[in-house]
Order: sequence, then C-alpha cells, then structure tokens
Amino acid sequence: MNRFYLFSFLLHTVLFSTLGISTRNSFTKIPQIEIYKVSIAPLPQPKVSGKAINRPETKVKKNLEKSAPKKENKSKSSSWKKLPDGLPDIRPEIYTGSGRGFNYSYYLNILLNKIAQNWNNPYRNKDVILKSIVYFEVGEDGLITNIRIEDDSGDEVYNESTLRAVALTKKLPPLPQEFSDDYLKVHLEFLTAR
Amino acid sequence: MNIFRIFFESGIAVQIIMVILVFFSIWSWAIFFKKIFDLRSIKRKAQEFLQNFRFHSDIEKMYNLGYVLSNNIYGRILKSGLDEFKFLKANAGDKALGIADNIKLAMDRSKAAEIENLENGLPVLGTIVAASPFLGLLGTVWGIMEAFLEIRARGSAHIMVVAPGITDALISTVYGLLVAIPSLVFNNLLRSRIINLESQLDNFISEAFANLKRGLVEKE
Repeated sequence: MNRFYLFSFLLHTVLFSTLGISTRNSFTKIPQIEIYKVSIAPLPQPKVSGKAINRPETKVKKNLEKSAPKKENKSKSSSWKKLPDGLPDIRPEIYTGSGRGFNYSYYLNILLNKIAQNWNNPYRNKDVILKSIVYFEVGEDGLITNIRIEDDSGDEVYNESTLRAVALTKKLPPLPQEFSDDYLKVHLEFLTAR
Repeated sequence: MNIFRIFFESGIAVQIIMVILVFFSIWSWAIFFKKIFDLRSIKRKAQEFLQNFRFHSDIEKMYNLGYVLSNNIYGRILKSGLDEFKFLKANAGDKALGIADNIKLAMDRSKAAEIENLENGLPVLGTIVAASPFLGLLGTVWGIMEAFLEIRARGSAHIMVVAPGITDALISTVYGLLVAIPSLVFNNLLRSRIINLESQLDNFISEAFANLKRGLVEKE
C-alpha cells in the first residue's frame, strides 16, 4: 500500500507544481490598497431648505455674490478662504436628504485622480490601517478652499499627508455648468488598508 | 489566480481545511491505484488459472495445480472446496453426498472473505466522497465569516476589502469538489468492478461445486 501512497503523493506534487508554475506570473503580492470614498454634499437651494438658508457661510457668500462681479472667480474663491473657521458641522446626510445630488461621475474621477497623484502615503506597503476624512470645498472655478481634517486618523503624519494631498491639488477643472450650486462640499475619506 | 497565493493568504482555518482536503485526495487516489492494481492482477491470474482448472477436470489432478491454487482468488476458493471435499470423502462415507452442500458453503465463505478483502478501503473512499464537499463548504462559510469580520474591522465594505475573503472562501469549495468528484468516480468504478468479479466468482463456484459433487458420486 505504501508505494501507492507514495505514487499518489508524487502525482499530487507534480499536479500542484504544474498548476503553480503555469500560474506563476500571477504570483505577485497584492499591492497595498488605497481606498477613496467621497461623499458629495452640495448646498441645498435656499428655497428648499430653510435651515440651510440661515447658515452663516451661505449669507456671507450671498453678500459676496452681490458685491463682486460674476466672472471674478479668483476674488470670489479667495473670499471663501476668509470664511470663518468652524463651519457648522452639517453631516452629508442632511444635504443629500434635500434631493439635490451631484451626478457627474467624470468630475469625481478627475477629482480623485488629481488628489491621488498628490498623495504621498507615508504608510504605503506597511501593515497599518488608518482612516481620515478631509473636508474641502470646490468653487465654480474649481478652486479648492476650506480644507480641514474632518475625521482624525489619530496619526499626525498621516493626517498631514492627506491634508497636503488636497492642498497640493489646489485647483480642479471648473464645476459642470449644469450644476447650479455655487460650490461643492466634499468629504473625502482616505483609507489605507493592507 | 495562483493556488499557492490563495492558500497562503487564506485564514488559518481555511488553510487547515485545504490541507485536510489535499490529504483526502492523496488517500483516495492511493486507494484507487491499489484497487485497480489488485483487480488487474486478479484478472490476469484468473485467466491463467481458469485455463488450468478447465484443463484438469479430474479432481485428483486439481491438487497438482500447485502454487496456482494459492496465488489467486479463484485458486483459493477452489482450494477451500477441495479441502471440504477431501474431508467429506475421508469422514462422511456414504452420507457425503447428502452433505455435499458443505463444499459450496466452504467456497462461499472463502469468496466472502476474498470480497471483503477487496472491498477494504472502499468505505474510506465513500467517506471522502461524502465529507469533502462539506469540508469545502465549511471553509467557504468560515471564509465568508472572516470577510464580514474584515468589513467590520476596516469599517469599509469596499470590494477590495471583501473580495479576497470571498475568493478564499470559494476556493475552499472548489478544493472540496475537486477531491469529491474523482473519489466518487473511483468509488463507483471500483464497486461495479467488484460486483462483476463477485458474479464471476459465483459462476465459478457453481462450476467447481458441480465438478466436486460429481466427484463424490463417482467415488461412491
């Protein structure tokens, strides 16, 4: 019986070796996965949401719109930067509940690609799982403003890298013309996973 | 898809299950090779023996078949019949013909022992056939469970988080089926061959018994 076991064992060894060799090209370590999740929260129309109308930053922006000419995007975006810190912590769910969405996936792809190019993840290829959410706003002209950490990963270096990725991106293509809101609120989740 | 990568990236539970399945596979193939070898050997020796048996229709000359009587199933069955025949002839006297069925019983007993010997290992094969898919399924369930735990741990249901766990889980079922399907074929094939052999042995026993009974009558 032993010789039959030996023969069977050898047969299996040959079989597995053949399978292993034939698929050796795919024997590569899976690269570290970097996951981006984006939550888009466009401002609700003042007519629709009564609460949102009363928000301070909306008022400020409205005043700016009246005072500044429409085409002066730069001055407009720089004014956004002057918006007071500590915007009301309005979760995305509140806005999406208004029925207004941002259905321009091509724009989101550009946004994610540009930020990804600028992200130098300090924990790439390391066995670390971290998550941070960066909040920022994209103006009509594509300028990124109001960048801040919304959800702390607990690691300063990592937080800094995600903030830097967004800050370095600086400018995106102008928002789609069909998009009627003045700017886009983005909650971008940076998740590094093994 | 690389089988080794999938194996090494699986959880410990799935790895253990896969190792057990590989062990089962080696075991079932070994049983199959042994049984096929035994059955071929029986067939080859049987042809040689049956030629001699039919040539030596004289009972006394059957004893002179020598080693051929003990190196194959047919020979051993005939030998048990001849021993009983010899015993009846020496001890039963006139009543020998009345209890001639003892010769057939002796040969049947010998046949049963031989078949039992041949069937040795088949229950193991049957168990592997039945257990392997369930083991694979266990690995799958375990893998899916781990995948869901991963979702909870990472706080993300992204496809890249879920997919590896699901792949590991499914490969376990694939392994289980890869072990079970050949084993099922081997089990059915071997059982049908043994049933065929059993029926041939029955025919042989009838033929031998008729010869031996005739020998008893002639002696009386």
